[in-house]
Amino acid sequence: MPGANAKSPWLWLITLIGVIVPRRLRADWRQEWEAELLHREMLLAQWHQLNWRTKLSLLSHSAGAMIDALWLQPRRWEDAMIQDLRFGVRMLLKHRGFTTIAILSLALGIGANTAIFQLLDAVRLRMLPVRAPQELVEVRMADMEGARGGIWREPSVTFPIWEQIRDRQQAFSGVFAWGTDTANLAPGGEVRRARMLYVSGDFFNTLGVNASRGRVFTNTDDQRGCAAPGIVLSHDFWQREYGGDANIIGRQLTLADHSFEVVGVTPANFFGMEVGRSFDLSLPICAAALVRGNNRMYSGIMWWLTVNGRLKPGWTIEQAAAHTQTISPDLFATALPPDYPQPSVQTYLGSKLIAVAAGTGISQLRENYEQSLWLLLAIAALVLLIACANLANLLMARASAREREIAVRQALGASRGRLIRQLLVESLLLASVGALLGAVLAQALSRLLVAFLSTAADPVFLDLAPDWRVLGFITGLAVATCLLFGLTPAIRITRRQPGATIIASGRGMSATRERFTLRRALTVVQVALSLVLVAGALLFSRSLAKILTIDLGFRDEGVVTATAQFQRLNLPPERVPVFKDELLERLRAIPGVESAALTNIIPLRDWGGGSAWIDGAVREPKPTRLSRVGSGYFQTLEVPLLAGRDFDGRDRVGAPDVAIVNQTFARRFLNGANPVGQRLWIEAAPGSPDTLYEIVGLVGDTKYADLREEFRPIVYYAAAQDDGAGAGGMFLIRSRLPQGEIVAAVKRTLNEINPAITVSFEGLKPLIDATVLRERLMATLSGFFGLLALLLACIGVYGMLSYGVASRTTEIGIRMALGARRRDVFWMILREALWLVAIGVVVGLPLIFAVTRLAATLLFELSPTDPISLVSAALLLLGVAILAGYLPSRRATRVDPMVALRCE
Amino acid sequence: MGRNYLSYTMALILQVVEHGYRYGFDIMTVTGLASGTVYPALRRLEDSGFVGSKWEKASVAQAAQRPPRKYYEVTKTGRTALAEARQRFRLLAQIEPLATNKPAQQKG
Repeated sequence: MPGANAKSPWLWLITLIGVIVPRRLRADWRQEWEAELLHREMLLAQWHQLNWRTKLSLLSHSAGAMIDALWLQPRRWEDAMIQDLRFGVRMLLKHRGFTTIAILSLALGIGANTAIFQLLDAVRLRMLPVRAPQELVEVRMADMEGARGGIWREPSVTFPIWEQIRDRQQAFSGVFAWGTDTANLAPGGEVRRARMLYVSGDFFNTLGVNASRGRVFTNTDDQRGCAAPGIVLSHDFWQREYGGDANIIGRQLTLADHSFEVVGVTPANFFGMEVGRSFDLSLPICAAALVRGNNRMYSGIMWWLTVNGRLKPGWTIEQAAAHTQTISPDLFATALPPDYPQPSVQTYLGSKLIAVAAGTGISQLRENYEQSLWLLLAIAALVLLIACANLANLLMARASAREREIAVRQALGASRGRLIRQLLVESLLLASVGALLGAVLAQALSRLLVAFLSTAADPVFLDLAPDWRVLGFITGLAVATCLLFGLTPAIRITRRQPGATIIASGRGMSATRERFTLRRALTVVQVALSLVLVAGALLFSRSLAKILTIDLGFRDEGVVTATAQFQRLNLPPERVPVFKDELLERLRAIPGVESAALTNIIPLRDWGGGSAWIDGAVREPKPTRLSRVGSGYFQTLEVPLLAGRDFDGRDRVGAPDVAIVNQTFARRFLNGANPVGQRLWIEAAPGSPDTLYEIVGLVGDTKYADLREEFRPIVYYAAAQDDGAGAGGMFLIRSRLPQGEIVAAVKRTLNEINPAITVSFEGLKPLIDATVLRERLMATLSGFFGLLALLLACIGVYGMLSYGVASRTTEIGIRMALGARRRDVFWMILREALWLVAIGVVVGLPLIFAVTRLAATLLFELSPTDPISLVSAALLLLGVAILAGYLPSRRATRVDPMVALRCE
Repeated sequence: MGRNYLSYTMALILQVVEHGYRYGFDIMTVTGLASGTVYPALRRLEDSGFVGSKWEKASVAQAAQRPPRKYYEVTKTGRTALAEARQRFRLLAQIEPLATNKPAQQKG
């Protein structure tokens, strides 16, 4: 029989390939192939056809066994993995305490990281839910230096500029403009705001967003002067206000006293172009004139539109940017409004348009919070790192307990690779369960964060549904943490000689140095990282405390702002000021109201500015803040009147224009001289020429637009001298009543005067608190993470020491037998804790200097190396070390030398 | 594609087994497919429960002075799956079983 005696090459090949077949299947697999090959070989011999060609064919057939063997590879894993998994689950269930701590700390760490990442993803990374968002570009002003008039958002353009861009551009296949506003849904009484999205005709078409019901706008809807445009509802609004009524199309909706026919509903995932905000109702831009009751939205001094385009195929953003720059000079020359203030004309004409990628939309939220969120993500990552160090330490402690098990398995023939895999599977199990819990936790946490960032006036809307990035992030975290805390212990404990371990498995005299060095190092790392986090938490808390105790210059408690509109009364213009006075009198007469006043600027919410110079001096206009306020304003806000008088009945339209200035104005413009009796000029603004005012009073400094900025010069002029005042007004009301009661009383009063008056309210204090939201967020979250880090450091030091005491019982017993006093033993253990922390602090300090610099811009009047914060953080950690070291140290003093020695 | 979806090749191999070509190399000979195709396909068919495998009797192998060969048989579920596959691949239904159970004499 040929081939039966001498092994032929194809049989050699099978033997060789068989090596990679999983061991369990190998014998059967080889037999099957060998039997087939031998059978075929014998047949060929019988047929006398065993020549070199057929032999080659046999060889190629046996080479095909390689593919077969490769195909069987996954089974190797299936078997071993299932075995490992089952064993891992058993081990974890056996040590419930350890498993619970591990999973909880991982879940917390991974959950916090994921929550923050999810927010970042939604705010920063995610593309808009529109067709091919990467092709979208925003055409914006390079800067707003030349912009005068009403600036609603920065950057933005006016309607004439938008028209020019639309007509001149060649870079985009489609271009559109949009702007936001609010409008009143209520027929009278308290205002019900709808968030409006005004869009040009091409908006939906260019974005590729279709209506989920009815239709969206086209170019025919957006014609200047449109009389009865349709209205498009957002999915949310349709659900909220109409319960998702299927017959919504064709129904009428009243908005700001105009009736609009509902023509469509947008898809559920579409929130507009601004990430972080959504809209309720959408109208063509031409309808803004109807809703607002004037044509100012068309004017060249209302900056309220954002322009986006979709790049033509083959165009890059750089080309588009170059193109918009090129058309800028002509464009601005054409768009220049005729009544533009003369000093600003040159800057306006020199303005440039640039093009930037807009696939992720624009977002105020992003600008305010992106940096904070990245920093918080880094902080959360540090917490996770500390948790990992902690777990690695725990695992090593546990590994010592499993030394015998591992040694026996090694002695019985388990390979080191296999053992490491087994240990890693256990870690992976922990990490996966932790990640799973963390993912669930993150959903709640990220929503909590969004709620934190929302205010009554500005609710935050974010699509937080996890996408592939979030899932990838969680998976990556799980694998990274598993490797971080699992790999080192696994490598360490499989390294020892099994024989030596089994022999020495009794209790040694003292723990081996090598094993302790690594665990000490891990504890030091924990302490160092904790120090960074605690210091960060203290810095942000101190920063918040500073900003909260800032001297506003006025008292915000007990003040409510009421914004009343009475356009519906159709008062003749000359009646309006008188009517406002009457309203004010009625408000002041409400029991509990201490004072009330008109203003056009709510402090720290609104902004108005211009340039001024002193009459008689060289004309050198310097910037100043402007507020138009009524008499009683300073009394209502409790701003001290330092010289001169408040506005009063003398200050009427037609009487000489008067102004009151603050201390900083007097200092900057008059070198601190008493300004009363002096006269000042306010530079021309759109719609008003240079105007001369007589200064009649001097008041204390107040914060104006931003808490964080220093006191700025402010010029107040009299509300009663405003000849262009509209049919509405903002009132500041100070009262002794709780906000709810005063709001109800004001509503009642206005309703008595005329039910058609609409009004909306905001407390002044909550409004100002909302401006320090970012500081509050940083302080709260970094404080939370700092506490977590302290707790983890505490657990780490405690675990380290108590394990040390347990494994040094014999040594301690001998020491005590030889005459060591309890106090000596106590100190011996506690000293170690203090050393660990001291080294940790020394290592951590340079880290702090490196890391906190990133936070410098987020801190208010505080150096990132603020000594108070750093020293407090170090002291806190020392305190924690003493706390964590106390119990193990006490335990060490209770060692009975007799018992300890007898155990040998 | 589910685990139990039959590709044309798999269905062809299943049908060939049903026609009585039970050994890996016989299947290769009659279909002309390579060993690297036929064997993984057989493993998959076995995993899906469409074929079962048995070792030939030791006495037969001893007589031939070689190890026992492994042969494959179509199971009941395999027959159902094959019937479905024949609906999809009309060409399969037209392949008639060869008259003899023996592989045609062929080189290699």
